[in-house]
Amino acid sequence: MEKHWKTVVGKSICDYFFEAQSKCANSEDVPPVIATPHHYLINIFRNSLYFVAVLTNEIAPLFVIEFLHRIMDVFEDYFGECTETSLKDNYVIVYELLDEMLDSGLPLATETNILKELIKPPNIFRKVANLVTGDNTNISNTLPSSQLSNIPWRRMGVKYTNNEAYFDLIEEIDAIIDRNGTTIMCEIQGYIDCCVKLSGMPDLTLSFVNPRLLDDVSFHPCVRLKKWESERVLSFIPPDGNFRLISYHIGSQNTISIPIYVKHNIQFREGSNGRFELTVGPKQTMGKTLESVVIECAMPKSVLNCTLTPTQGKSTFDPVKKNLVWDIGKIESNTQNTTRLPSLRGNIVLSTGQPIPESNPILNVRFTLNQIAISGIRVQRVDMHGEKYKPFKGVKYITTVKKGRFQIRT
Amino acid sequence: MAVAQLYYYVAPQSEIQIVAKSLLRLLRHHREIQTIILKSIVFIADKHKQIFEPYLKSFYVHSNDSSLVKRYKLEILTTLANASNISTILREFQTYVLSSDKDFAAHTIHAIGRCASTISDVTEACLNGLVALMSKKDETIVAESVVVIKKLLQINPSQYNEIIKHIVRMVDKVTVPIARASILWLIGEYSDRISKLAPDVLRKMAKSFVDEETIVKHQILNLAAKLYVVNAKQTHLLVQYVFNLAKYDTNYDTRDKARLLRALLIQTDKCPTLSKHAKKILLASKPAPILESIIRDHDLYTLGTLSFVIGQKAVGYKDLPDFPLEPPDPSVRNVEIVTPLPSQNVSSRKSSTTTGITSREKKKSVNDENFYSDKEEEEEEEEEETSTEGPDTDNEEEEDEEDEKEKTTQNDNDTNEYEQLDAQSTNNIEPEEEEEEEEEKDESSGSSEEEESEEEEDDDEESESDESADDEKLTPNQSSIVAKPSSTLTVSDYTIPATEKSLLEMDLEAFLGASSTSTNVQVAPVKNNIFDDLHGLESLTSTSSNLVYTKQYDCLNRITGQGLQIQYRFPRTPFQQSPNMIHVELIFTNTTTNKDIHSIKFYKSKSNINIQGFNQIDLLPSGVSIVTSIGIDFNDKTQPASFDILYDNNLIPTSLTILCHVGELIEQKFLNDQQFNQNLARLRGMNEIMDSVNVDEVQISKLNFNTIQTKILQCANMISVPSTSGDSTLFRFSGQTISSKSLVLLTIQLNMTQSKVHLTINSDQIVLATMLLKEIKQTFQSIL
Repeated sequence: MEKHWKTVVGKSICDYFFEAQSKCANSEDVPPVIATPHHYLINIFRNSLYFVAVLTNEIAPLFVIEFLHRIMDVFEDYFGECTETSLKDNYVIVYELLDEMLDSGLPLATETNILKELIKPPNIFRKVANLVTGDNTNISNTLPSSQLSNIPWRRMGVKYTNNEAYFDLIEEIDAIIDRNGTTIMCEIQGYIDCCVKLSGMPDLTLSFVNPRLLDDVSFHPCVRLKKWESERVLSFIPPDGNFRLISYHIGSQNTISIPIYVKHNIQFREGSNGRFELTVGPKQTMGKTLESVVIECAMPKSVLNCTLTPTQGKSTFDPVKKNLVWDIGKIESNTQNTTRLPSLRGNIVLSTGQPIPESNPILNVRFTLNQIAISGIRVQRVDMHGEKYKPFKGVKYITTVKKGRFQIRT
Repeated sequence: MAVAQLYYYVAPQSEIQIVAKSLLRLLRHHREIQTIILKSIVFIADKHKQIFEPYLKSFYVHSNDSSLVKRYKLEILTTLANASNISTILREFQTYVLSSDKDFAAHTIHAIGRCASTISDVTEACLNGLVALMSKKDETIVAESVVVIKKLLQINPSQYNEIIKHIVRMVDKVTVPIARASILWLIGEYSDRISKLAPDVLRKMAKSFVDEETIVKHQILNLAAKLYVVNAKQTHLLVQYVFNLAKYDTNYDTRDKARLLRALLIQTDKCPTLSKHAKKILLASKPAPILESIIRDHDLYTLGTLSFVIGQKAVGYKDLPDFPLEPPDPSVRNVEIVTPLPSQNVSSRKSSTTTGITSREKKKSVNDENFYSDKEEEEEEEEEETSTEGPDTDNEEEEDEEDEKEKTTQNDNDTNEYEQLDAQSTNNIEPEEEEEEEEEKDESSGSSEEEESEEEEDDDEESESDESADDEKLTPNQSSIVAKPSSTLTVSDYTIPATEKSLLEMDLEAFLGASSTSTNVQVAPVKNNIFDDLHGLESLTSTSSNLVYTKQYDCLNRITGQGLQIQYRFPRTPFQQSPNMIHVELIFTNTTTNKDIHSIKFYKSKSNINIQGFNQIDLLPSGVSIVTSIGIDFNDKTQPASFDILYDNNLIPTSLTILCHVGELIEQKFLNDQQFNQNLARLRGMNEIMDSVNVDEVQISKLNFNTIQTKILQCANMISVPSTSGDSTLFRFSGQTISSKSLVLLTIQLNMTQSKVHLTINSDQIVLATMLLKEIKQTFQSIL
């Protein structure tokens, strides 16, 4: 599908893109910016979909990329997922959204809160209603009020019967561990995602137990920066609904204890087989349970098959992609005796005739650790001013690993 | 990113540090963003290595990064490598070499080569590592390492005979053409070192000549020719054979090359002169290649633009203009500053009568130096003339006013005296740290209803005279009584030295060419006069009461300073060197009786606050005070500025802390009625805060324009807005923050019936406004 602003660009422009795409073996390797004789193509790749923007003029490419990602985010917000089928199902809304988001080539309304007032998100009831009435537009007749209010991220006159505010403090570990088990690199990327459903114009203040840990932060525009700088508290008038209040980054200078360890023993031997042994155990989890632990391992091309038996969970090997996945599930923190720790043992079958791989595969580990933020950050209190009622406030801590960001070299 | 761009191009060395962190944070985003950010980092790191060095580990490669990202990360690691971190980087590289992504591994080897060439300590280790790599099975890795080794050897060939021999033995195993070619070239170049092996290699090559790639054939020919020059006897036949093979090659380049070399070496009769020099030609010492980065040519384009990313000029791309060599016309900057400057009002007016003439003479003498601001200077003088001619009458009027004022203040002082005594008796119970401070505190806390700004000035005088009158201390009560009669005189006396100083400074400025600031001072009274004409009596009183308002604060007491006492105050005049800075006067007093203090100098500031204009004081004789002025950029925050000074050749710096009150962060900004309303409308909503104070009926009846203005001036440096409506219960003041020049608007509404005072502040800087409001509220409450 395509949509043009200002001037129409011929469809042949896509050929340049397809050409570049075909050159790359991996779908992620397409260069994000492609220059063609008259236009410049900027593309993003997410959920196995390419979004390509065509430019004619000099403009900061980050700006365009960010915008494309934002479009994707909005689609995800509207349709629950952003895949080929969901886009095909909602062609009309997609066009309507694009119309609102980009006006004559300039980004306009990109906040989902505002967009949702302009264009109603799809649901079954609306679909039925549309069919019956023959009315085919989802555009609401009124202008969104918040565009006129002086706080652009919040509309006036919000009302809820039960007022609640939830804060999810999510931390993602980004680490590389070498074969001896020493941590080469470890960083933490944290977010506070909020779901605020409060009436009126609440003014929230959130303070941390140890704000010193946060040194590199970026805020949602609603946070008053001066207050943060002077008092290290977050003071803000929240947008309505879900939003990311703050994201922060804790660099490799700070020492971070990693809550998991993996013992591994992978050997490829001459004569088309090899040994494979993995043991996973918790480490310094402060009594919490490691959940949904998954270990992935991209095997070298010469591996034909793996016959592995796990003591816990389920392991699968995809012989086409050479991908081994071991889904362990929960690991209790109190199982200190090594016999009960989950392990995976078995043989690897190599294809004959090919040289044995020189290097061992890299293990990608994923897990989540609830009720704890690995960096030790805790929310001290959340206060509300400006409104009379007493809201329900909840804070949740999650430590997790983004796909492919926690690697163990073997 | 845009900010990073700005920092990159504009920021001084010291401040660029901030960029690193935020760029690294962006690295956590989507793959596309990563790519572009990394590309920019490559570019920045090339210029400013030090800023990314602490974050080296963030650039370690994950196995699932996209190939572009990997390459850029590698590039950054290579750029950042230095003697101290090379070992970690090399260890990291070793794991990369083993990665399953062969392309990436090849790039890594290249990177190792670059590290080895830039850091001489590790060349040896790198070479050994590379040689070890050559025994690996994977061809691409081997080939790449051979190529890199070849380049490295070229840089420093003398020591590595062993390696060369090792490579020569490799020649049979290596199949990648470029690597074979490199090996052959090496053999040819250093054939004198391996004289036994070289002919043997040539023999082998001659056998397989037909099956080789073009590039290898060329190198075989080269090798043959070189060997022939060095060792003609042994290789004569072989060379002939190779040349003959080349003669019938399908590639014309090869044929050409063979023909050229044959002519050079063998057919000596045809061109005898040339063959004599054959050795020189073929075995000339070649300059070592510089191992360059793969991504190098982007210096041409502005960081972060589309053109930068694609490496070619996009439509509509504009280069950044160079920094202007000539400063732009300073008159552009003059427009904004229409504000009647509070204290300079008095001072410059006096200067026109007393020191004005001399200063003008001085100015003329330095006129020659003002090469670009001549015109400006002339205008300024014209303006000065008009100021003395035109509104002469005004001046007189005002002076009359002032006289009146002084009389009233004298009265005030009298009444004040008693009140203060009372306050003293009550406050005596409280524990006190220092007598002087206490005295000040008393006066401000027990501040009487009719307290005038001059009164405050008097205090300063007193305290200063106290100090200079040496250690023997009178009780505060006595001292104030003694000092009082002379205080009204000292007001006027005191301001004169200040003006002289400021004029001197102005001359200095003019000398330096920054005439814009000096014009301000001159223009101000003129404007002021015009404005007086326009706005009648009300505003007249307002300007005349804008006398120098100064409180003194201690920042180094004489005990900790070993006799050196430092106090500071805010003269509320703009800092001459930089309009964004708050002018702070430091008073250095040597309280010792017999010891001189030498060379007081500025060491460094601690809290990242910009401090300027600290001139070194060479000698401070005992019992003498010196006033210097510095500018501090508080950034519209009330965080104290702390900095270190050195004196008396002490090696340990003494730290000083200067606390800024919220009111001092604001300078006067004159707005007329219309402008005020416009800005007020703009600063509604989030930018507005309100409060009200309850006042009893007696008090509220006493509140008139004068009293309110004094109160406001006590807490903040704001100017009243002339009212056109004639509403006697509405008072408005305007000012702007000094650092960011954002407006601060204050509205005071008296509610006579409920005896309340409503205060409203509108400002962008809402934090500052809140503090200001609190302070103003307190002053209103304190009179009750």
